[in-house]
Amino acid sequence: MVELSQVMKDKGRMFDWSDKVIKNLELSEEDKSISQAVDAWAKHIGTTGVASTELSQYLVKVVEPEVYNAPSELLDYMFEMDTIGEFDDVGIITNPVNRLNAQESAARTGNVDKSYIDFTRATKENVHLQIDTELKMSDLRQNGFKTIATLTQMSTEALNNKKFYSVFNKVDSLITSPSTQGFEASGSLTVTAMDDFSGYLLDNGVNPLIVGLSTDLRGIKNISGYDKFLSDNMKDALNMSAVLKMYDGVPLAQVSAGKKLPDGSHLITQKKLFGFADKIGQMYMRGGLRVLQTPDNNREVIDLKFTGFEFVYGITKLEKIAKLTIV
Amino acid sequence: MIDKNTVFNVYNEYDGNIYAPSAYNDLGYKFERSNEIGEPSITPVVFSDVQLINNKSAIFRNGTLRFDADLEDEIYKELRIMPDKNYLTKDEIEDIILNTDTDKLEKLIAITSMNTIEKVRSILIKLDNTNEYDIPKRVFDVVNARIYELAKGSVRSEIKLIVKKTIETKVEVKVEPKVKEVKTKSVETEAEPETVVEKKTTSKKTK
Repeated sequence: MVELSQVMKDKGRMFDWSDKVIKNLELSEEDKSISQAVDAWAKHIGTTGVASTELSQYLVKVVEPEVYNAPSELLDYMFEMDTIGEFDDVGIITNPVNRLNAQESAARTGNVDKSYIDFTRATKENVHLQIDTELKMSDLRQNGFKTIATLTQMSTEALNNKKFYSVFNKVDSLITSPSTQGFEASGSLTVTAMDDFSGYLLDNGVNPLIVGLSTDLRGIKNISGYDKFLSDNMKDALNMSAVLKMYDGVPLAQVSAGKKLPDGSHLITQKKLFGFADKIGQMYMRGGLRVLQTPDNNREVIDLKFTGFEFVYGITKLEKIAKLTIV
Repeated sequence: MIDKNTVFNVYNEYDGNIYAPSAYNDLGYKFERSNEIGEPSITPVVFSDVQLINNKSAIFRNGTLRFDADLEDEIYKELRIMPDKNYLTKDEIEDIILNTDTDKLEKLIAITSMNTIEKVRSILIKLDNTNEYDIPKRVFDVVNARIYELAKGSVRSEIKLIVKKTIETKVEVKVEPKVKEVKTKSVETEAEPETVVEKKTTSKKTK
């Protein structure tokens, strides 16, 4: 029997365990003993309904690092990440615009009109996410550690997905199309459309990336006439995975079309490719996740409330975003 | 019946490049953005490619790419395009935004295509950024609300436009009857004294 509190101190250990349990992977000896320990207290809660804080403490300790500090490849790429306290606030300053004007003047005397550097404060977007749920005591008794593992994985996924969705929704609404940054491809992608889209990104940054739904990115390899640009290596790679890794030197990042929010919407809007030339702004995770727990003996459930998941972000470099819409 | 090899001019009035596939050229068509003073770009396209693009996308159906004005009806007939609620040209959208009223806002609510409403927003923001026009807040509200609805997937809109009641104000201007004058007159003339006064007062009451 292991001491759970000791295991929880090891960051990510419990999350790995729950991942293994859900996916029915082979458990190591330590994993098995974790399962036993978790099973014991899960069943204890299920049988007694005691209002101990074990469950909520466990969720905070295990889920919080996964949603707060875990590297999320795309968002880390898009934003400079930081954390602030629950009651703190930040001012996000946009990229200073150089409006200093050097003017010709009469020699050795007098002044010219003053000019200034444009420091503008960006509009911040505050998002607070919350989940309210219930856990049946009978489930805790029956499945024990499996219920806990499922809850761990699913709550993490729900919070992360929604965070991702709300950021991309904002980005989508910032760029209108057709416009300089909003390219429009009618019917299907063409070589010219993709060239201009990736060209815009290469011109505006050093570290570009194209993000899209897997179904849309797969369309790139089917662009008519594109096959002649494919090297043998790329053709081999294409036979292994359906999506190209790069287009004109811009990496392609796919978001699985199989991942969906509870309301059925995809994490990224369909038929749209988003391009980022560099980091586009700053994101701050605010405060910490709180899990509130109340046993309801009359209905034999445990009320759980995941709250305090809060983040602030400001998009400061609008010119570094481009969008390709397939009409 | 239009011959498949006829070449038509296709106009792009918008600020963004629009791309389309072609059966003859792998690079496809590129409809350049309009120039600085708003003149549309012109790209010649073979009619068979017009049909190809129309089959694949809504770019002609929603009025984004246009043809010569005198040929438009004929081409639309051939392409089986019936200008419907999602067909809005740039001029129509600008008219809705700048000379807005309830009927015109209803047109925005009737839109069911995300691309059309996004096109509206594109023009709306562009006009707003010029700082030359006074655009009512209700236009922004309707456009944003409709985008939100369409993003959720609800085609039938629940946006209701409520016309605020304006109470008709009756202004009664009370004019003091010029009794003195009349009286003096009546004294002088000694004929029809009362009736004259009444007539004068009623005629000067304005509603």
